[in-house]
Amino acid sequence: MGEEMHVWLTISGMAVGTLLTRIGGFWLMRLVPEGGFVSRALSHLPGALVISILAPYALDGDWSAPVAILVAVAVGRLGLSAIFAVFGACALVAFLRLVI
Amino acid sequence: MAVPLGVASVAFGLGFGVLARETGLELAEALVMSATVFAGASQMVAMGAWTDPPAILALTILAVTINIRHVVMGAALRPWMQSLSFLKSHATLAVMTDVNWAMGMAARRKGEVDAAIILGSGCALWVGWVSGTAIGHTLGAAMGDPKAYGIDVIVPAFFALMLTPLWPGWRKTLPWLLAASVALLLHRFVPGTWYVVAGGLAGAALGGWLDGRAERRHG
Repeated sequence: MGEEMHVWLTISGMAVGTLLTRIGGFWLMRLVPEGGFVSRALSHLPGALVISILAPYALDGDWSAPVAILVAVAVGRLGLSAIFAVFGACALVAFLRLVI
Repeated sequence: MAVPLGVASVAFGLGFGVLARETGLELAEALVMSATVFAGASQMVAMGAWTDPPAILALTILAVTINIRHVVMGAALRPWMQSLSFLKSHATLAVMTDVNWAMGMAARRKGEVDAAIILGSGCALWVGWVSGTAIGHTLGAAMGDPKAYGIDVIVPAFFALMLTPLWPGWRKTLPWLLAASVALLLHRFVPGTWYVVAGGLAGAALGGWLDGRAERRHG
């Protein structure tokens, strides 16, 4: 097998595997009965997932992500658009990196 | 929101394009990977673990491990996706990323009913990601370090914003505390994104149980 072939097979494997993770959850949920505990738990899942993704950023890295999070939430609270909040956070972190 | 996200996506794509070129991938290979895998973190990590020739199975498993969070994210979309046709729901899921998933969830909490918000922003992210890869690969290291522009903090800043509409109120923070604790614990000791899966499921289970108990008391 040529080296080129290895590269394309690896890319295909990654692509198919990743696609399966994207549709897999939806398929799995078809096996789970609706209503009761499952429905109640599902309504809590989005928030629990977002906080799970965010927590290591906030606590396991250097100062930059916590600063960005605080700036984004503060700007968002002011009622300004999400664009200002996200890119304002980037700009401040970039500035602080330049200064420090 | 989709346009600035597309721009941010170009910036991330640039980073991957530069990295892919340094790793030794041809332009066509980097482009096909971005177009078909379309998952930034897993592609970046794959570049770090790339060998010549690459290990097909190991890199596939690595990608699945890093993208395993998609399974729970997709599960959370069930109430929204089950009313759509097979084609629509699967097209939406195929372009689901952390960013447009969180955006869709936050919008739904605010009253949005059209799931096309996930598909549309997913397409914008895809175009940005693929074109960013092309530019980054072509220009190479002349781009400079993306960290100097603060590009690496886009994701945490964006997620923090999406959290606000999902906030359940101070009296209902227990599931979030559990989710965050479980996520932090696993993040430190288990590779991949199992920490998202475990944290999300733990928080959802506790939230569901607490709600059920409250219903039984008042019902």
